Amino acid sequence: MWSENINMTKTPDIGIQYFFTGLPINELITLPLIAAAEAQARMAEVQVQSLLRNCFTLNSDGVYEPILLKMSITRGVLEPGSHPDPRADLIQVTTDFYLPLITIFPFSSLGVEVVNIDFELDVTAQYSTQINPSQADNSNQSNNRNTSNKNRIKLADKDVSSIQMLGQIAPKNKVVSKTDSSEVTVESTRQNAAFSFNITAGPLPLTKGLLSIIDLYTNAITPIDMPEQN
Amino acid sequence: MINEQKIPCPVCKNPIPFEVSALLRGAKFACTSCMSEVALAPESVDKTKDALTQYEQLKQSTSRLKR
Repeated sequence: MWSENINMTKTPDIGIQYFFTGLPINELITLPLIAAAEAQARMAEVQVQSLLRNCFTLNSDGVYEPILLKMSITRGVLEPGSHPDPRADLIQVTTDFYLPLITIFPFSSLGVEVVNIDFELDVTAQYSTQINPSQADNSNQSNNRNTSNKNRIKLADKDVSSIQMLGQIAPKNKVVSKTDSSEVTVESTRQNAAFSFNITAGPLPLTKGLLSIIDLYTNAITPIDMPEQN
Repeated sequence: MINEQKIPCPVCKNPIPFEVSALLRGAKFACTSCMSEVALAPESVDKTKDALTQYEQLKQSTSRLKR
């Protein structure tokens, strides 16, 4: 799990969506995909170099010529019998043929097949206010005024026995730190959001044009029948 | 992923499945249609072995990157 704490200096009166704007979500998703694409490109480049080095020879004209392997094929051939014995004989005939080395290379196993990006992101927005003693005094005076107003309201509404409060309750921490000369009150508000990302990416299927080119190359290296030598 | 390799039979064009490592050990692969047997000539064994060894080293180095 990856978490990031961001201390916000904005006013907490703005909605929660304001706090979480500017998160690097685009980068978090796209950077691993770009890294996978670059890895795929590098592996393909290394693979091509390896095939050129191992399966081809560079001639004096600067043309890569395929390295040919000598193969042998053994098959039974019916040979007509001689005149006194007309029964045909089955004899084993071995023929040599040549095959490009690249045709027996299992070179499709290099490459990025699937990219799985799975991570969770916890974001905590924290807002803090520091109240100085002078502000606290003003606040106390204001509270006194409010208290007197409340008293007045209370006196005016003697019949009210219960109050129902509707609203959203947010966690609020209050810390009072004392020094020798002053008292500082710090109020902080935390807002959390959790994001979960699960992304699966893979190579796109090859286009028809590319498949045609690959077929062309495949046909070019497929063994063919050589003309008979007299 | 199973990567089965095949070559067309020089006699009847039927695909013959084969395995390179077995070819290097001198194995013969038979065509299921005409029963012809295909093998690697002894003089090409070293050339094929060298190329495959280098290729396997490349695969091992890239598999370390995948981890």
